Amino acid sequence: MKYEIQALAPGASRIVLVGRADAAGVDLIETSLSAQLRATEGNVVIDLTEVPFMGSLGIRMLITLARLTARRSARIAMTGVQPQVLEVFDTMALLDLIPHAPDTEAALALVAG
Amino acid sequence: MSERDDGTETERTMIIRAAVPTGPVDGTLVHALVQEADGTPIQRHPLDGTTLVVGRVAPAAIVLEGSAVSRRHCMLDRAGDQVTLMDLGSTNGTFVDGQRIQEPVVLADGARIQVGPHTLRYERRRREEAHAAASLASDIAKARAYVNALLPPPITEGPVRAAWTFQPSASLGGDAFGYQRDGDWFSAYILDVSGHGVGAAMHSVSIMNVMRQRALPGTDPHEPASVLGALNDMFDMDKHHGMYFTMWYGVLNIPTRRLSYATGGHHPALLQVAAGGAAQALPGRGAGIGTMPGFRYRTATVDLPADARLHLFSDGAVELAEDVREPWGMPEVTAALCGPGDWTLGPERLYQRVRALSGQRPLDDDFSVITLQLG
Repeated sequence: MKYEIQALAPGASRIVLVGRADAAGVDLIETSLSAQLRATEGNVVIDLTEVPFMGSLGIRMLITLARLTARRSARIAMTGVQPQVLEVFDTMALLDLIPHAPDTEAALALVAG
Repeated sequence: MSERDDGTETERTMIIRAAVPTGPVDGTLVHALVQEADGTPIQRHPLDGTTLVVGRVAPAAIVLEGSAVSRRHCMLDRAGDQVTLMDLGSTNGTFVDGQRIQEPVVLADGARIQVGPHTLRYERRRREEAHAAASLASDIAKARAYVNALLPPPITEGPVRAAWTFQPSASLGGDAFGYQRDGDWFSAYILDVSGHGVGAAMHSVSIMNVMRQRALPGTDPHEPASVLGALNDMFDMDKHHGMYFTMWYGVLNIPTRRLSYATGGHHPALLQVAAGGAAQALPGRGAGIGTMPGFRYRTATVDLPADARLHLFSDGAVELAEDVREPWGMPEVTAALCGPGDWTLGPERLYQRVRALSGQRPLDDDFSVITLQLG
């Protein structure tokens, strides 16, 4: 698994995740991504277009990102969630914590409030 | 006990740590065959000498039982750091990673040798790594035994009977489950802690003990939403090393056959209303336990028919390794679990199907399936 943090708009960044978010995949990026997010300011949009599988550790990583973002009074949203992953998120009520938008523009609007 | 400067006595606990070797790293490689059962290491055989014979009877160095094992089945030959496996003309053959060997084969680290029904994994490690791995394996074995000791026995008689299969993965996946009868009530749960290893297993043990002792203050155990809410408060992931868990919890009123249940991000239970018949998932939605402080869980109810059957399961039953090409999802799980035949064998039938699809490799996650049969 890999990730990239991109400047999306003034006061907002996009985290693009790529690969299966299983135990092995998450282990590769979790520490580094959390550290980078701590050093990033503003709202966050997570792009999951290229994540075909989300295991329990992947979900834990997303929750951690949400908590880190909330601690600095910023907002977070997701976009590009594949249907099979969205089903898992719905079962876990994860969308209550990190709302989902159909595209990046809509996600930006969500985090802008 | 020690005395402070002001004359009062204090208790002091001294933590004594084992000395950590600080000398130069020993580059010596150690070789071993690790015997596995259902993907779980059960015995380690060091390859200390230059040759080692595997067979059904002594003087073979590794004696394996079974009619499919020849008296002298195969032999390993070590030259330096290279280990070669050869078949000794056995009746049923020797297999390496699923392929029958026709001539001597140099083994790669991690190669799986099949001798009759037995699996031996070849392991090559630096001496320090071997010691660390053995120590970790010992810790995992103890944790596995602890979890196993807390699981309830199957129930063969009464208004609610129970059968289950639990196969922890080699690294322990944090699965746990339980059930108990309390007069006219029967409660059951299954949970899956995020992550793997001894930490996840010990977290599941903590939760099991809370459930067994009903140690949720001010909570009605017959009200599933309040049970999950109390667990959510008690096990906030920020206070438990980032670990959360998913859980399904249900309570059946036996005389009325009304089932109340709630879910904390767990797979829905499957309700089968007739033997050999179709099954339907019981809908449910709720935050993983410990992920969202103050989350309000909801209790759902369903009236069960007299001969209803309820199936609970964990990730290991539905999520197979990435390289398994055959389709596997809820329809396939349901077909394996709810097929005709002895209902008590459903969980094991599903496990064997998962193992076959995974090429008999160790599973990446714990496999837990419980079937509850009414009537």
